Amino acid sequence: MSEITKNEIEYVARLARLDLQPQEVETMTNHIGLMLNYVAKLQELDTTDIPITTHSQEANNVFREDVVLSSLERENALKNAPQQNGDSFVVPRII
Amino acid sequence: MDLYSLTLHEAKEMLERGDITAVQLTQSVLARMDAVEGVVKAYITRNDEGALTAAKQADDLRRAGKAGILCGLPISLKDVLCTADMKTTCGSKMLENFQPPYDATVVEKLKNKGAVITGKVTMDEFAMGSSNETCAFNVPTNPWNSKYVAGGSSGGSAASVAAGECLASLGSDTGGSIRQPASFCGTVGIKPTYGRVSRYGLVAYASSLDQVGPLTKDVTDCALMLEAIAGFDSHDSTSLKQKVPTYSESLIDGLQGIRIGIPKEYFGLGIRDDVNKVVMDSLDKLKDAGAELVEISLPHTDYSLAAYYLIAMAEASSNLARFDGVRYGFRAEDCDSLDKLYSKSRSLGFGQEVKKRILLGTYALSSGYYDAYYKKASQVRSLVRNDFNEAFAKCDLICSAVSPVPAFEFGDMSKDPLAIYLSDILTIPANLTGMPSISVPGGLSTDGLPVGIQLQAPHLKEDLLFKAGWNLEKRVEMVGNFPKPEAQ
Repeated sequence: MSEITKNEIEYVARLARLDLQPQEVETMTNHIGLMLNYVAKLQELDTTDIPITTHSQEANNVFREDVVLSSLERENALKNAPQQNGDSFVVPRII
Repeated sequence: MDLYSLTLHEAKEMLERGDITAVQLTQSVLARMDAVEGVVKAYITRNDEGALTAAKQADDLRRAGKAGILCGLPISLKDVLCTADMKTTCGSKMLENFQPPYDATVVEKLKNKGAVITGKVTMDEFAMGSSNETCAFNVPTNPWNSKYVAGGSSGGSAASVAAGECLASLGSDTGGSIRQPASFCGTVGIKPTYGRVSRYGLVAYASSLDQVGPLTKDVTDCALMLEAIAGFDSHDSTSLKQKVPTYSESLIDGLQGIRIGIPKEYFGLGIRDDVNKVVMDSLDKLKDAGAELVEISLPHTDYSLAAYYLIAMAEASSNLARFDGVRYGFRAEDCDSLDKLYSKSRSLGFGQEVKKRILLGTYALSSGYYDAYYKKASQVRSLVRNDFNEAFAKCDLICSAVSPVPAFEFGDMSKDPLAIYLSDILTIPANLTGMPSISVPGGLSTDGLPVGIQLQAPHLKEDLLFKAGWNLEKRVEMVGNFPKPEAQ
């Protein structure tokens, strides 16, 4: 399970919305292959019936009363946008 | 006397007595930056003007009898913490011009207590690295010897403290990113218990592992800083409600009744001989202080790093999906579709290390591989946590080196792509388990570089870390003996 091909790297890059140059595909395939080889050692452990830990503390939903609080003003929320029209973020035409 | 060389608590006392003003102190630190920044390269953004204004205000507040606990003290911030008055780049081209609309909670707390913010210090890109070499901008040098790295990812924090370019700094730690650079630069650094300090306004790397914490010149300063930034924050749903203790009260001599665990597995990890010697000497010193040393076992040590990297990268791939060139950050030009806009902006905005981690994380979470990688790693995380729970039934603290090696030379770790990851083996358990962990200088390596000692404690036992760290510090000669980068 530790082998990874260039095709798989290109597929994963697509999922992650990354365009890789041919040289990058080469390097990433090598490096990620090495890392997958290393992490393969986890398969030595029998983890049947071991619960998963996704959080180091007991993570519970945090509820609060549904009251209106102040939030970021529109102008401030837009000020870092690469392109905006004073009202919304602007992106290339979708349809 | 050079005011920049004072510790935080010394400067605080002198300010309180009226021996010095915040403006004098800040001017000394700014002049120090002018003198050494050409070699140290710790700052991405300097805040000279803002710092002087804040210092004047601090002096006014003190005269009015309204001085907060950090009033007039110059402090730097890792560039991963949002600041409303300064850019926050995260060491990445992606956020090169990002100007946050708000202050991180920790920044707000520092400012409310009167701190003078000296600027934003360098870091590995998105905190991904152990040498600060992945930064898209300036890479800091180790103030002890500029041929060596300062460590990472909070390299700028550690370098700025050790070089006297601030009196203390805030960093962040996902797998050792406060403790390892603290160790490399001979400063103190603590990763608090997960949830002890608010993460609101900390740019996320791996949300279940990230914590903000201070890097300081000594343990007393570290206790003061943590007290200032810790506590519940309604903006961070993972922040803990427990009261923040007065940590300075735990700085008392003697470690009678404290059992310090030494994990037997740690001796097989390729720790360098001179590092091991510093660990042994430090254990003797802790014993002299009254502590009892006990052997413990952490059977899953060998697996923890693999689990850590899968979890950290999986979380990173998800967190970094937000950088899409739409709401903030870098946007590529000439994209005729939204999809192209996403992928081109991300490809040009992120550096190689970040892309690598996003790819591995995406792979570990992708359909067909989730169980074998992410789920398996999360199960092993439970095993690691159980190891530490069982160990803490036999001891109060666990002691080891912070890093198997002292600071290395630039480029040294680039030959073997796995080597730099493997060097995190001693620091990552504290992030997987959420327990607090401190790095305190223990001595010097054979090449004259600092070696940090790591102490780990059960959740919310930071007071014990400060107590033991302070007792060690009192018995180590190099502490406070900071380097002179200007002479290099």
